[in-house]
Amino acid sequence: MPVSEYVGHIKDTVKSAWEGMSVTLSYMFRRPITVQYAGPELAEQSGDLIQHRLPSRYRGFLEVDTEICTACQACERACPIACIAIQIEKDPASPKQRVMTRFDIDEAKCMYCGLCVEPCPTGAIQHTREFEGAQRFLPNMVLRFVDPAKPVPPYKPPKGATAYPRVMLGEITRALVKKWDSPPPELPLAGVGKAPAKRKPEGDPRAAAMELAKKAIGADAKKLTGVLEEAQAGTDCGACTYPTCREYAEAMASGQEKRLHMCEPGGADSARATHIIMDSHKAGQVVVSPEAEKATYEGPS
Amino acid sequence: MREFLDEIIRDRLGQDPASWALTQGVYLVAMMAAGIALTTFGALFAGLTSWWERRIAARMQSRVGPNRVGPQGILQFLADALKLLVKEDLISSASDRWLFRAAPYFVVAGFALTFVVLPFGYHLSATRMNVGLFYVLSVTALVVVGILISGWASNSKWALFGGIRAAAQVVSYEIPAGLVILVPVLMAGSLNLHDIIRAQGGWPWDWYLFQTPMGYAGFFILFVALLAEGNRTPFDLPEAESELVSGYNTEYSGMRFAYFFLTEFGNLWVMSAVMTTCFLGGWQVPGVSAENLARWEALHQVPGWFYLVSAAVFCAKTLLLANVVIWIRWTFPRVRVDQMMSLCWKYLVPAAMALVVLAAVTELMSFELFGEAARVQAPLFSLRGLIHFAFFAAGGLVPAVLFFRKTFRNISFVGDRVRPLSNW
Repeated sequence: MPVSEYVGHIKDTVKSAWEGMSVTLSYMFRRPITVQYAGPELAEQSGDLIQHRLPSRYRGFLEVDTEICTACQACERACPIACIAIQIEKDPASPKQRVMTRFDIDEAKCMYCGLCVEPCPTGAIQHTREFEGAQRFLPNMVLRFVDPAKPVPPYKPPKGATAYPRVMLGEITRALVKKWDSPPPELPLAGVGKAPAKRKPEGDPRAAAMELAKKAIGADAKKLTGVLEEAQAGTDCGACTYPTCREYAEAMASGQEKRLHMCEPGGADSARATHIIMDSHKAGQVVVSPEAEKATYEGPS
Repeated sequence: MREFLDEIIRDRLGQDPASWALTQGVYLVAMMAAGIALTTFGALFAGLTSWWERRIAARMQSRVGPNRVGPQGILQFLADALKLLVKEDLISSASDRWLFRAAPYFVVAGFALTFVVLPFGYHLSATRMNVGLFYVLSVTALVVVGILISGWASNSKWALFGGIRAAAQVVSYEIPAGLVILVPVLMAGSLNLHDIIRAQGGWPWDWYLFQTPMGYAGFFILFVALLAEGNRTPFDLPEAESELVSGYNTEYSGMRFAYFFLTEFGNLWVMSAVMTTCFLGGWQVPGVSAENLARWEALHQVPGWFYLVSAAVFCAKTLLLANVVIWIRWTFPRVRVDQMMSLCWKYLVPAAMALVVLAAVTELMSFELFGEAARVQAPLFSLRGLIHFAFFAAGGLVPAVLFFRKTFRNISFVGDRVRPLSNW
């Protein structure tokens, strides 16, 4: 190594130390850019809630506005880890009326993926910007949006509505989140553990569709309506623009409604079944057309 | 310490220390008390430094750092220690159980034993050992034994790499450190830490750092060598996180890990105290000259405030140096192994060797020129005093002013303002 290179190394070392250390030292005299978290108590006193400073698309605790919930259970089906529990029962007062007796979201289990928000027909379930929910007793993290003593009837969206009245996002969840050391709920939870609402038997959806199609052969309009209603998901979610599944089925049976693929919760299975039923009804025998094979859910538009 | 105890036995207890039966007992109790006090000091310093370093690091990265536990987060280290205490003490089945368990004790012993000689102020140290500096260099070598044992006994490739690297690094850097430490030893004519301090003075131009070019260069060489011996960044190759997980302490958890951690941060004090002693005038109080002190001692009338002020001066200098070490850690990236080795063997060792020879020649020459007066610090208004002051101005004052001007220019250059105490 020539002497100039040797001396150059020493010079470089001293120079880079001189430069670098003055840069790092200069940060000791500047303001850190961190936004400091005051904690819930202090924030409440000053009214400067950190939630308001979070971006509007922040995915915090989930919130359900049961006033505009159609009880379609699309969110429950969408949840990959089953942290949403919905229970629908017949109203004992009026047997035709269905009511929600339970809408629980386990915020401790939730992974904040947002998959439940997307299928919701009315925007009743949303992510809030709430996040302060640490609990001494884990069961307190389960937020109960429906009081089992006061069951909630499903919301009937008005025809053609595109926007739905919703309370200020975050208010319901903020009221439900308990204090840090509040006592745990008594187990078993009230209203939980009763027989779940009747669901369609699981199995081969094609075979089930063929069975339904058999019933539709030679049926009158009323019977066809019943068969078609059975092919829909039966959640009265309103995604098909009809307030209830029954009305959608009536429209299809009377021939006014040509679009047979509008049941969002039912998806491809419902669309295929509806096609098979209508084809079979017209043909007088069970027909599975290639068109029916390809049928999938398509929105009303 | 023995004279101090004898004095207490004679004056307070009214006994003759030579013939009293309980003299040895008093010694024993005093030894235990001093040992507990010093290790507690070391542990507390290490804990507080771990918090302080995180705060400094955060500020240098435009963050805030731990400020939640206690005022400004100062109790964060207690929370961390509590967490480590209740953690499971894992020993992997493939490890050499006995060596694995023993390694942290070697490391802690190598760290704690240095406190036997480290001064804290005027007459404030457990012993005034006549080979103090030599003793410090010897017992700190125990740390590398512990690190090597932990690396070997873990039976893990990461730990073994870390241990071997530590051995190579520490053994290499012992040589420049051991050589360059001879510069202040030659200047003071003693290995006793207190004597080295007493040979310097209170004002910066009386420090060995600014007395000769050898002292100036020696300061930086010793600083780099001690950084490397303490495994501090940019020489933290034995625990290079990006390469070796955590190096030699990869397999450790709980309290055993805490011992390694404690030693690493505690070594900051040891290294800074040695530097302060050798080059920065130790506990010398500005304004109290050597003659002054000698007069007080002759009359047995050293005032009480002098003990306190000298301790404060020593701690202030040591903490300042410890902060520089932290500052360096958050400035420089880690060096490569070959760079680390070439820095030691190609640059530091030859330079240290040259400095020792030059220092010896200079000492001889100054004896020739000034005679016995060369043993004591010259007053400011004399030939020697003015030379020292000129060197202090050129090597200390001017660079400091230039450096701070550059620092504040860095801030205004990007349109920022000086706001040191906002958003803590």
